[in-house]
Amino acid sequence: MSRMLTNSRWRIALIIALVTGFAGILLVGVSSWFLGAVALAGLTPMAFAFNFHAPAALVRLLALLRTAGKYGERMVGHDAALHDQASSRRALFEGMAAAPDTRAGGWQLARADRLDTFLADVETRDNARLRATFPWFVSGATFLTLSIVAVAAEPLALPFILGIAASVILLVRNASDRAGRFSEEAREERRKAGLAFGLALGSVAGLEADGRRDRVMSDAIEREARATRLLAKAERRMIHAEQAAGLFGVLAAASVLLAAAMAGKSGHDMLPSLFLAFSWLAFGELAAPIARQFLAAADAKEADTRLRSWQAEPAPEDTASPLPERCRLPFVAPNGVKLAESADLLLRKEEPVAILGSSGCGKTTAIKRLAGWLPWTEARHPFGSEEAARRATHLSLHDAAIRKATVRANLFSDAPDHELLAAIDAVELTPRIREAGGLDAMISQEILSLGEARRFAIARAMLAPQPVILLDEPGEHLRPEQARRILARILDALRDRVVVYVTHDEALAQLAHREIRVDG
Amino acid sequence: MLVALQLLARAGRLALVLSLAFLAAGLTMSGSVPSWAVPMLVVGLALSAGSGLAGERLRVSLEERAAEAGQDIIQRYAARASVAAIEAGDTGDLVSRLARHPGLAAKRLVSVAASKAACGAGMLMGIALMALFSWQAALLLLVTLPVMILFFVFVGGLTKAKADRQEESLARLAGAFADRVRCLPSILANHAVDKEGEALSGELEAYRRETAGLLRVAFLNSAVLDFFSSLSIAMLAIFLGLGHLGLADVPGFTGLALSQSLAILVLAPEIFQPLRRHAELYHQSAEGDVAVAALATLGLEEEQKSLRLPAEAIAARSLVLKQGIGMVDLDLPAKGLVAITGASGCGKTSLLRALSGVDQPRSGQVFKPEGDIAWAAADAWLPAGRLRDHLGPEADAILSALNLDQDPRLSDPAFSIDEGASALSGGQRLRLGIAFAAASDASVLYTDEPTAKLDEKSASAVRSFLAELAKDRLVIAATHDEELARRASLRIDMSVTNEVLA
Repeated sequence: MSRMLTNSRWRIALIIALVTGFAGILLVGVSSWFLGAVALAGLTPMAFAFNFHAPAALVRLLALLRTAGKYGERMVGHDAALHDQASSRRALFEGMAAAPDTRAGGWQLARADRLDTFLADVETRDNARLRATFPWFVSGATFLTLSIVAVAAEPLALPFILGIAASVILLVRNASDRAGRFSEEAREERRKAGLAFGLALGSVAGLEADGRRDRVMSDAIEREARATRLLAKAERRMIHAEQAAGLFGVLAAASVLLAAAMAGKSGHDMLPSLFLAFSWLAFGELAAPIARQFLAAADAKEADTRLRSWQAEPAPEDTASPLPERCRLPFVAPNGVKLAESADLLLRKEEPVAILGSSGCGKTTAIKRLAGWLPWTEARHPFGSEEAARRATHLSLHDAAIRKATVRANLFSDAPDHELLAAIDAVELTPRIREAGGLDAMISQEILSLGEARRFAIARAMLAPQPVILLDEPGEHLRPEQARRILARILDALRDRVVVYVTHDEALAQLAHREIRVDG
Repeated sequence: MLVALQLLARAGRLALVLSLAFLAAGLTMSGSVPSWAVPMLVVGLALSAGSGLAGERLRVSLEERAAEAGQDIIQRYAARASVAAIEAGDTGDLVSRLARHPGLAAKRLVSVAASKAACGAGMLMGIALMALFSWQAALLLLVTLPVMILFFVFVGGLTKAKADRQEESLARLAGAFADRVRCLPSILANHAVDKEGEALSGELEAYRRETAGLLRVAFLNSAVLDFFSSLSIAMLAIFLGLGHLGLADVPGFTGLALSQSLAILVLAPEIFQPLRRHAELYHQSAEGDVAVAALATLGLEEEQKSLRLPAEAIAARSLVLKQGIGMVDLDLPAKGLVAITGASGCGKTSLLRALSGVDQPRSGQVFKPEGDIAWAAADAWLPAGRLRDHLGPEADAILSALNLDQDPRLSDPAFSIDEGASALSGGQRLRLGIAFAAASDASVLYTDEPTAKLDEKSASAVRSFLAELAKDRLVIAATHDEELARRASLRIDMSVTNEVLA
């Protein structure tokens, strides 16, 4: 809310929306008052003396103001929302980059089901201001104004109107609370359905072969059907509240008229009440969508909470200490279980080290610790701090992702073209990249095989400027001879750097200057 | 039914505003309330709330059912369409369509269709009611309709062209953000957060500009509606005012009572209400059309043919694989280890898939005996839940034979597989697939590259395990592992097509 008042785009949008809201209400109110006044004047010989032009001009002005204002309100409001969207996504991206979870391993948002729910949350939160806060502000302001007018024109009606308004809001809050819970459940069910369906589709050949296809597919879709039923339940909860909100204008107008009747008003005394009653009737149009807005606001709040869990404040920069010559590398699982004896690691240029061991012995965890991606086990990180370690190292993940972007953007390097091409050549991707269309061709994870993606990530490591290069399973998904060739080339190219790599392949480990054997 | 309820609710609403007009006019002109105005208010309230509630309930139920029908279409496709068709399609896209399309199609077939049907009738109802008080005023509004529709068509045409471009840029934007989030660890590892953040901002800004351009035109649509509904109120108010004062003799607007003129005034915005509602659904209507069409195409997909020709043992006659690789006739034993070997791309996996009935060969027959079969490959489906519940009493023996107990997580008796086994490595998933096959009653096990991705110790454990299994079952393995092939009782070398080496 406070942002709405401090941001100039939102401020302009709010002013326009307020003017438009009032113009719409006044258009109906003034027109009704005007008809009442001229009808009363028409009964007397004073008809010709009635100043017709001023109210008629006002009515025309209000009509134009309302039309133009609505258009302007939509334009400026959406523009403000789009600006918000741009800045919030950038901030979200940077907050996520700073969060420890991002480095902890098994990046959850690489999974389609998580990514989909995450993106839905981002969208919900981005749109909340436009869909909920903004219209609320306008209906709140007009409601307040009309209530003040009511104090002057028809004080008897005010308690009724406030009572009706309070019950509508209570009803809406109640309903949106419950509906919110159902849609929350539906969201989770939908995520699970997406995950299960994706897995089943990915394994369709095996499922067809062993005859489980029908059952597994129906299980996944049944989950989605459950989500649909939960959403329908949520919608049903909202129906009463929506209908009540839709009738608010009529009920408020009727309250004013009945209060006037009880007070025995007629003739000219009646004109202010006439104005007030029809103004409330017009207000009803603004108030009708309040139930949806409540729900949108509640959803946005939930989404915001979920999004916060992905984010962190960027860590403060600390002073860099010189790189150590040696350290004790621990082999401890992220949950603290000791997997193997810690080993002495020498960090020297021209002396690459291989960490050799079978799967599950904690090699990857160890190298991630060295890179500062996981907290060091005891005392201080040998590089000074995890932050300093992250700055000093390039970590080549065994499951590195390929962006849907150009080859050049995917290499994350500012090096000149001939260096980029040399790195691609070193990992034997030249024919593949040439076929795709060169450095500026678009590539994506899908068009590369697992082996090609692995080789691409190795090319990134070759181009990295950091003094320490850490490679996780550089030979994964590659044929043994090819892995040997490529690794030998990399180690040669990175002679001026400290290189440590992890592998389960004896032959690849032999290329190192020194081996660390880990036995679980 | 839904349309009737919506029209009833509309009638109730009209009765409501009319009774308000009569109440107000009665009070102003004579200080008395017409005797029927209050009952009419109550009836209008009951009618509009009652049929409104019933209509909405019905709408939600109908949409729920329609959405489930849409899900059924996807289910039939997923469960029955040919494996090749599903694998050729974009499965990620199908998953996100499962969440979106049935709901959108349901909205299109229920809400949008009903509002379309109720829109015209609802507007005519209002105009007819207005004609009771002044047919000239009603006529005035009636003639604005075609003008409005003309504007709609004109603006709609303008919007359509831009909307396509917008759709494209939206997809690009959503993709750009989602893609960076997906690749965040890699971006971090490459120290590219600032650079990618800058690029993201640039793309968001471009999208914002493009969208603003589209909205300028798209909002004209509602501006036309606003213009006519505001203007009609203003014009009617002025004409009616002139009539009351007797300043001008406009036919249909002179000599009316205040109750009549107020009624005309309050009816005017109500007449446009159904159209406004329908315009709000415009976006859903377009999306719904796409969803309905997409579901319809899925429904047409060719079904998987059952290829089980009953026989005593697995055999193939005159088999030609999908890639056109011809085979001599094959007869496989009831048990033993069969290795399908050959260089990459020579059709090992294709033969495995043809024999198991996953793929239809180009021609020829495949014979298969009754009985369960199991499939173990890197993409095998693993059930979620407690591992030892799935594997039964032999669990520990099987896990240790496959060298899976090396991982302290797997040797924990309480270990539970998460959905998709995402916490496990590819090699572990593959070996678990073999473990599940061993624990099942399947008499035939098909396995694709069972020793790839494994360290030597695990690979040799898998070879021994498969050889052991083959003592009383048939194990068919597509493999490039020479070691495994040597232990096979029958070897099918695919690089020598048309030849089977015993």
